[in-house]
Amino acid sequence: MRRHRRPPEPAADPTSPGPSSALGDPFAAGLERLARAFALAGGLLLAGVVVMTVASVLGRYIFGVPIPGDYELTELACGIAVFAFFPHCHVTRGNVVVDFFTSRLSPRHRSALDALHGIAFTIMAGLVAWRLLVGAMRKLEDGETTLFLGIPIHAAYFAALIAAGLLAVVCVPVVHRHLRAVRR
Amino acid sequence: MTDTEFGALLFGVCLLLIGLRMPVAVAMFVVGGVGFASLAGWSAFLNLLNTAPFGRVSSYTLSVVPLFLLMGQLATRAGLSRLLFDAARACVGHRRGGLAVATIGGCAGFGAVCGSSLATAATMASVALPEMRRQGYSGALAAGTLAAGGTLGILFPPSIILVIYAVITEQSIGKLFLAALVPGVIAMLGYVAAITVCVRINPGAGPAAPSLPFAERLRSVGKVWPVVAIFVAVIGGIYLGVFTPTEAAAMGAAAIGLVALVSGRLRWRTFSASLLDTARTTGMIFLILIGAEIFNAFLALTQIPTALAEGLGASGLAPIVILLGILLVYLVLGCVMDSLAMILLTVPVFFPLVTGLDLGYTEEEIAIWFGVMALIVVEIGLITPPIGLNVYAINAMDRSLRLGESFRGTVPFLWSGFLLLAILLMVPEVCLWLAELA
Repeated sequence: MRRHRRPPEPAADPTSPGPSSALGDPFAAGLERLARAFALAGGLLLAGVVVMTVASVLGRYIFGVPIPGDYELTELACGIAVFAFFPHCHVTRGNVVVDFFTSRLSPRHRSALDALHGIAFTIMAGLVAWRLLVGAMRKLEDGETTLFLGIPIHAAYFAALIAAGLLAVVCVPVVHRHLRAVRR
Repeated sequence: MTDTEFGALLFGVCLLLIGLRMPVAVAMFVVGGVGFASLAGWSAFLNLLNTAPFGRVSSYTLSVVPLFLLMGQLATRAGLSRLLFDAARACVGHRRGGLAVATIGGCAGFGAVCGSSLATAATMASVALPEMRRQGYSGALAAGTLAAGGTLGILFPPSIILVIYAVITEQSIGKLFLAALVPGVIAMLGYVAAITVCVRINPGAGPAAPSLPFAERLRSVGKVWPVVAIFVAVIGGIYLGVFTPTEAAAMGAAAIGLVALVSGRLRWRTFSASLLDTARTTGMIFLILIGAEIFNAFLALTQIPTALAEGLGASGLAPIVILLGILLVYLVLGCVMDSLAMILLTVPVFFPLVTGLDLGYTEEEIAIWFGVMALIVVEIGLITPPIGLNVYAINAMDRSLRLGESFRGTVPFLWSGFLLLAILLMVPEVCLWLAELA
């Protein structure tokens, strides 16, 4: 499995024991690859925003016409991209953990805490995904659209929902990984 | 139990969970959610969740964060750190402690295109650390310089943490960037002074490197023009109102990407690695933002900020004492907590209190001043034990460095940081005048 880790890890806890072992079974490894693909797609979307914004700024100053609705495109694209980033961030242990008070605990105890927090994370991710679905359905009923281009808001919600769903799903092997570490 | 007491209790629970290594975002989300639901009802909480997470993440102002992160990532892969370090070394490398000074110069330059302290420290370290060690620099001086130099990444605009502060306090990103610029320059000079003192006391810590011919020096310095041009265009563009901060970030990212492309370093592999690293850091920041959104919705219900402001107002303490007290809380929290989480947890509580203080400045001036001071305290927290993230990052890159040695190396730079904080406290104009020219 490819990793893109460099020695410094923004936000990773400083005393964590190096790169994690693979999630294990092929199902988990597949999820990990999927999360990576989502992150890459989100990154390309972000790069698209860069190109669009540059074109819009140049258009505004050289030809006097910006790209219409560039702000709302940026807003929606960034929102979708950020949701697409979450699963990859979670499976690569990118989330901020304060390790100061627990660094003296045994690895097993720490893994036990991590497993508990992993369950809380799963509940959070599930809740967010569920309510995003409800929110998306409401936006669909309302028919709310963006101001200039008339892009239906629910489209962005559904796109984010797919990523939020993946986040909730990848939570499961992450918890499993911590539980395995407890048993070891 | 009143709502305010309940709020204070849950605030403590949240800190406790964070201390028990619950991911910061989850702790804020869970505690905020339980608190909000018990005050306003579960259905209100579920309704909040329909739109709050996506609404928080899909914001034009906040889109500046991933864009600046992408710009920093591309700068890292474009090898700009090497160019900057070489240019600074060509100027000062032949003096005693010169490589350390060159490292600070390189960090300042890199900080001008990168909004993160850790990324600046780590990127410069990969270039400057081997050079300094080869030249016989002591581990303490080398690691201390890099850890401290990294903090210039958040003092020099663009600065991710300042963007977040600006968004949650509804201040102008451009003004805050400008406000941090002069303190950033002072910090840089302070670091150079700290290095000078170190090598005066202990000449063996930073021996002089051989001098370069003049033509060579000129050539090295000439190579950094793209960085200078991009920084001036990005920050100048925001300053003059040519474009919004988001547009500036996009222009900067595109320009750095172009530099990387021309230098032949940007292939699909490096590009996708930049995207994935951007994704990871962005995900980390925005998940905390979602947690903070829920937590703040709860805090607003408890009216803790108002209660705190009234309580302290009635206590008869001098405003400056209250301000000092808050900064002290930040210093302590900054030593054990993640900087972003600290800002997001405390600013909603402290900000109304601080801007309400009668310090002889307008509310906006206090907001800018307080933001820059909070930034400097965060910066100090990044290089102090026990969890100075920069120090850990540098230390992990060279096996011959011992952690204690690295932390000892940051001490002179800490003094410089405290001095800067004192200057700012006494003369707020240091950060205000440039911001008010805008």
